[in-house]
Amino acid sequence: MTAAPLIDRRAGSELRPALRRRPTRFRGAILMFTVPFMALFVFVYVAPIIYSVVQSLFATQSSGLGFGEPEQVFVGAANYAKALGDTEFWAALGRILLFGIVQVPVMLGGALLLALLLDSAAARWVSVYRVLYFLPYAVPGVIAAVLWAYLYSPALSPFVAWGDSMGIDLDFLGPNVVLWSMANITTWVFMGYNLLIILSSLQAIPRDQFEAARLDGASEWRIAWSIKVPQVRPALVLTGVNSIIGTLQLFNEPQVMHVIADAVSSSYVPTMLAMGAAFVKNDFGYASAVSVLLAIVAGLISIVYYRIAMRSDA
Amino acid sequence: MKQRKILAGIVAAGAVVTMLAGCSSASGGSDSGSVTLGYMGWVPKADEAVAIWNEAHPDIQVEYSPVANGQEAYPKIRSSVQAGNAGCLAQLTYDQVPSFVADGMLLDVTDETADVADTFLDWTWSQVSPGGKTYAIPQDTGPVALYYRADLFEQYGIDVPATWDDFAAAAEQVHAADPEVTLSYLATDDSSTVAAYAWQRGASWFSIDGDSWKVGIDDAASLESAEYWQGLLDSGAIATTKRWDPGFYSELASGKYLSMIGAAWNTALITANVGDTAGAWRVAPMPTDGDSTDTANSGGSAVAVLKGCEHPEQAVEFATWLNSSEESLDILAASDGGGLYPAATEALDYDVVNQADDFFGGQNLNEVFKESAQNVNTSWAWGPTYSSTDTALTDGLSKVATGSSTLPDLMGSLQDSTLSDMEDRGISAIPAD
Repeated sequence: MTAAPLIDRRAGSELRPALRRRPTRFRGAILMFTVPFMALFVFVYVAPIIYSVVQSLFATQSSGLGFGEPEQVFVGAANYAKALGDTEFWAALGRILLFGIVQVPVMLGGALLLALLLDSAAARWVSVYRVLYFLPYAVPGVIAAVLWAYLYSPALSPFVAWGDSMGIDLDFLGPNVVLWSMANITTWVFMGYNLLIILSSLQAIPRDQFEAARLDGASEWRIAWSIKVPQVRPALVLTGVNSIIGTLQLFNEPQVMHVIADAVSSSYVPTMLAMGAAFVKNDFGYASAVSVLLAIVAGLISIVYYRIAMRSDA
Repeated sequence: MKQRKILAGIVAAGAVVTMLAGCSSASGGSDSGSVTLGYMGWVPKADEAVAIWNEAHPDIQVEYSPVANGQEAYPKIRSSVQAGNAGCLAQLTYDQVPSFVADGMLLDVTDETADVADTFLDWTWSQVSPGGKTYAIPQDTGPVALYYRADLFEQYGIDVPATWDDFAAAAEQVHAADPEVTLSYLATDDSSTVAAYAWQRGASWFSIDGDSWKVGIDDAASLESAEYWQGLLDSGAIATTKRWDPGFYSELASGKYLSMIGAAWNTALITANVGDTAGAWRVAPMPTDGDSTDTANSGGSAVAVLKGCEHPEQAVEFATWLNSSEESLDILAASDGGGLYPAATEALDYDVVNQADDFFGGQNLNEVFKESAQNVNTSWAWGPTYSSTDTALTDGLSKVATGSSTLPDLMGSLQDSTLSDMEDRGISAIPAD
């Protein structure tokens, strides 16, 4: 009678500690590795999101002549209703959607084409070109925008001066042009970056596949289109999602162009609208609501794009 | 083994804490009697004046951080106050003071400034005391004048325009002689000058009536001014430009514009940026509306005490010295220094303000500015949501430039947006009749 419990206990003592003691033994290490990440994740990611959502439910209120201490009043979804009814918000959103629909495919198409060229059997000086294409990305975003602003500004631009001497009236800042002038800057900055991601994905494809295709009589074009492109689809999806999110957060270019172009208003893109609401109008509730809506739009578009791009069409 | 693990844990935890602490490093500390004041501003060479102060006041050290000009600076100043690391003092143009007060960004220093009120022009003191409490120390004013190129005026055979009718006639004459050149411009990023044009004609954008604001951005005088300038734009006699665009000074130096209507603080900017044209510039009084002698003020700043300042007394002491002492104004008011036209009453007699200026052909500019300053309608007030109105005005001017709006329409829409901004904030406001 006394033996059975002993065996049971022994069996248990052989099994359970294996399950139980391991976490205990490594708890220190697990904590050490995860706590810094979790702490930063909570403080710089989760907390600001929660704070923004909470803030978007409040509005600043004064009374009388407005010189008393302003107070924060709970207004529920009023800031969201205001954003959805604000023509400036929709105009700003429409602008970046138009920007994205044109700029993202152009940039990624260009990056893919250049990557295929660099990956082709005929390519020489690949590492040199890789660095050259990547170089613009090393220029900080604002600096890049300022550099281009000097190239666009009617009074300073060498292009405009050249156009004048040829009798051509170049205007990079007109109401219908300035969006594409900005798209040009973004493409210039990010094409090389996306190229690198696609190229590294291309170079991971086993070379013997190309050899087999060549033996079967496939042209280089055929290899590129039917073997290479399908296999870099994950890289295209990644760069695509990044670019979509980047487009929705577009800020540097319009903020810099705002200084030199009449066509770029202070609420030209949603991020500028949110900044103006927060730091000009002191309306942090509205700024938060706009930011939350923008995040939702970015999330939805990214999901839709991901679904379409990863759909198995085999 | 165990010790090493603990050590690693401490290092990792320490790293996290340092990173988090880095996000909230607080404003100027005060160790044993010595006080540090942060001060943000954009007056050229203000750092030199601050250095003189710091030399003489080891116990009140000022840390000056230059910020971009005007509208570009306010988001930074506001976010610093919001974050609680703004230091103590910041430069604000007068039009922004009521908005900053309404947004709870400034500190009431009525008691600390009781002794210095008389040092400054009365009307500047009311500009920094919205609602009867004082929040800032006046720095400079912006009496408007006509800066012009004497050589080009001669070349095109133009007399200095005394009235706006003369100005319009001269503008048409210049434009007819050379379509590439205009007498002057309308700057779409300089809302303060557009406000000044209305101000001069007797507009009253904001006034207090009992417990409520009266808003008159589309009043008769404002519309009259708007129609005048729209007329010049429509005929092509005047061009629009962006005066804070880096290309502006190259246009000015090239002689594309024969003149510039602007406040006194432009002196230092012109001197520094279009050096090639030294000696060719002169300053004449602002053109007037018929027989009226009224002029206007454009811009001018105050040094405001920010919410969260721990040493308001010392901050006021420094700001008063900065804006009224001859020691400081020798730099801030010099045309090759800060180029300010001081708000301190006695300062207008200082030598530095009364120099024969070679850049302007040996002219003593103060003779023009002093008269302009005396003819400014000083009852002008700015409303508590003007920071929003100012941005809308700037955006609207850009629409006028691209042809999608007109100045009179803009005044109407500003009136509406300002009233609705005030209503949204719970501030009592009615349209002026």
